[in-house]
Amino acid sequence: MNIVYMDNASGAPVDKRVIEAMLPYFETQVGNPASLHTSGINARRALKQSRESVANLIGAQSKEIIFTSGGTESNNIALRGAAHRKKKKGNHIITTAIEHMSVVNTCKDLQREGFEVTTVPIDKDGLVDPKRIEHEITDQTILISCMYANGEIGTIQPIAEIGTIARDRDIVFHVDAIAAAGKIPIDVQRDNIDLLSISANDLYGPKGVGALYARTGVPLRPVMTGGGQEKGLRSGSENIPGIVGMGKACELAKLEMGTYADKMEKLREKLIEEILGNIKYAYLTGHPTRRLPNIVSLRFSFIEGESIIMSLSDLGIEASTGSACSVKTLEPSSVLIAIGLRHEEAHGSLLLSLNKWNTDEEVDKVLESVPIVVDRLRALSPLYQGE
Amino acid sequence: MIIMEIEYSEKVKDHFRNPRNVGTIKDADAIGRVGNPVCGDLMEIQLKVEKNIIKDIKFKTFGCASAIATSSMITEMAMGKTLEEALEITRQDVADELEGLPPVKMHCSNLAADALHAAIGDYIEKQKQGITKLGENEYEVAVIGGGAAGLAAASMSSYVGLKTVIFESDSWGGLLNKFCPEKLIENYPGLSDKITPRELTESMLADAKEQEADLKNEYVNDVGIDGEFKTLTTDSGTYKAKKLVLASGSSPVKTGIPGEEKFGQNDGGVFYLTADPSKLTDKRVLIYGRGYNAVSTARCLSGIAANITLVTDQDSFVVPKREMDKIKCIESIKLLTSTSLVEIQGATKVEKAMLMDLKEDEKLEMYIDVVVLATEMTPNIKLIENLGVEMDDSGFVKTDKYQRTNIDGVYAIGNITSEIDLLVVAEAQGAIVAHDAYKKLRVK
Repeated sequence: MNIVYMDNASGAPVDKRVIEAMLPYFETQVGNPASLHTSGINARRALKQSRESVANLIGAQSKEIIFTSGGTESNNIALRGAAHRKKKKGNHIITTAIEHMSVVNTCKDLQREGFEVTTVPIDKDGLVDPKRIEHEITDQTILISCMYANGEIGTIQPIAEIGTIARDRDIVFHVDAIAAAGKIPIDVQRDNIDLLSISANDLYGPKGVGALYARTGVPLRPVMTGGGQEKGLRSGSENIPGIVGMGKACELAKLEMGTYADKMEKLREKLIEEILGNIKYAYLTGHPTRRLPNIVSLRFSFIEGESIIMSLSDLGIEASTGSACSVKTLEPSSVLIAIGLRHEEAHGSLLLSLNKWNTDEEVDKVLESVPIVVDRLRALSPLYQGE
Repeated sequence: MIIMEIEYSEKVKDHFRNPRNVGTIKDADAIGRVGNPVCGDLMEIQLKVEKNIIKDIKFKTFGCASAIATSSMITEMAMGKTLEEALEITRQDVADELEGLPPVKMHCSNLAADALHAAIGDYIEKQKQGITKLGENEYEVAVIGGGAAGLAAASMSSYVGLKTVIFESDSWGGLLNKFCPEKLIENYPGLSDKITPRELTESMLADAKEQEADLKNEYVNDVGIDGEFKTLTTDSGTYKAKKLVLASGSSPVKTGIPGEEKFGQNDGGVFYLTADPSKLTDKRVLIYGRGYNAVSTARCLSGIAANITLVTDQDSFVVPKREMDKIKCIESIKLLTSTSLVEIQGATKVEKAMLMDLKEDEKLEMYIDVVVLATEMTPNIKLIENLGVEMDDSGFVKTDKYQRTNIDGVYAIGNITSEIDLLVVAEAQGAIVAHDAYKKLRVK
């Protein structure tokens, strides 16, 4: 059976052109950028080019980019690095209720280290109110972290406004752009962003590599110490194949982002419209229009997420859920709770995240299958009073 | 999203994809519900128990694949076991039968065992409280008589959730069918001139059916008392009910006038009730009575009968003035008061009526085709005499304000309780019975 893969937010395919670009660096161009010979020089060159491609994608300068092992590490370096460098000035960090676990748990850890963390709530669509952030600013505030867009419910935040507020008060502004980069245009200058995290796999690059943008003049303390690579901010011999892959992915994203965003948006709308139109007690989570082009975040009353995913999997469709039963902690997704869903509503969530290759036929298969799955599980459910 | 690795065994997958024993049981003996949608799990198990053995078991579950699989598995394990054996099934047993569950999913199997034990607990509790389960021919309320009173009682009783049956030996609607069913009802507050008796009957019948009352077009030939139940016997069998509602209505009283018997059958020309006015088309009709029935029958037949003579042996009809005013406007109706009907004559059919003018003490002869004896009605109490139901001085069944008779659990409504003979009253009495029966059977 051909699998229809719609869990790209969890793990996406790598573009063939990216794989092609990477291959030489596995087989023949295997030098370390620190080495003095030709292989080393080639590696350095590849590193430089990749850095430029990443910078280009987000409107930054090449020297402002460091490579990491992925989005989580980028967030760690950004938050820990900035907080510790600024702690003489103050100890207050503002974040939001919609952040990824790598931001949430890092902030928790910083709290344990003595920092004060304020978490600003979000509205029912997942939007942060810049004024609400402003309201929390004190003379001790040194860092604000708000994600560009959320990969679970798709909501795109008013980043430029928050950036302006932060800039006016000389507060470091960090943005987790892992879900957004390559899907919607980002300009760190326009948006007054000081630190930005991105991840290669979300751009159809390889897993295990990411980048952190740090504006010139924004100091950071490293998390990992060692040989001093990446301006001392991220020691460790560079993952050249991965970095080359990331560079290529960013290059392609810069060129093709618009086209693919349009394509995915059409498929996204088709999925949303038809599923909500054909199935009763089905709802959209997240903002209806300020939404990433690839995110179809839904919930169905009376049934549970893990069951939905397993049933869809049996029909050859792979997707994700925010249900508690599918998570170690047995707590439903904090994002779904933060937008105000009751626990039992959050349990029935279905997250379809598209990639740039998904087709109309695949969408049709999903549209055929979801009602079948929902009907079957509702027939089993004591909460559904059949119609 | 931190998804954990869930490797399910083939057995778990099978029970998830093809769950056994899904659903609910009609008239389940016990229900167990555990879990909490807030936590993401809710399981409901229903049982049918016979002689201490689980004869049938069904489940419904809101929850993950594990929750569904464990529910399904436990129904398989419990089916056919005794209650004691079922109580011994543990969560580990369920997990073992499923060839293992991921450790973090063990709480789901716990829930399945809990739901089963809760259901068994529910059954045992019900047994303790002596809540006897009702069998097929057993009801909470049985109504005898499907006229306006009975239908109202059956509808309302079902509406409040009491298992109800109603018996009618003739046509549903009772007297609603017998007095000009196509003529708009006149004395029903709110519905006067809006609905005909036939339409009202249809509507009430539809109501009773929608409320899921059991309607039986059968003749109840015996009633009795058997412990906490009242028994009713028809040709199809014996029925039991916790509450009995007598709504058998009333029938015309025979006058004893010569000729009444002879012509009272086979369309001989003597009628008591005008169920089918069309039969009287172009006939010369004599209506003999004293009250509203006679007068309204006259109006009903005007325009149908060739001519109508409305006769009473009293000075006037015992009706409101406006009724008489309506009559006086109708040309085809001739009024004869203080005149008694002495004899009805004819060869094989009615041909002549012999009358006596009581004031002048003179005989009168009239050539007619039909005599309608719109006489008094008498309550149909033959069936219930052996129950020992107390009557009042006028021969009606005595009731308190909740329509209760002197016998515990037996009610009486409609025309067997008084001479009032009004639809609204009959229906109201039916509703009162439902109210009281509900209080007795449901409110502790």
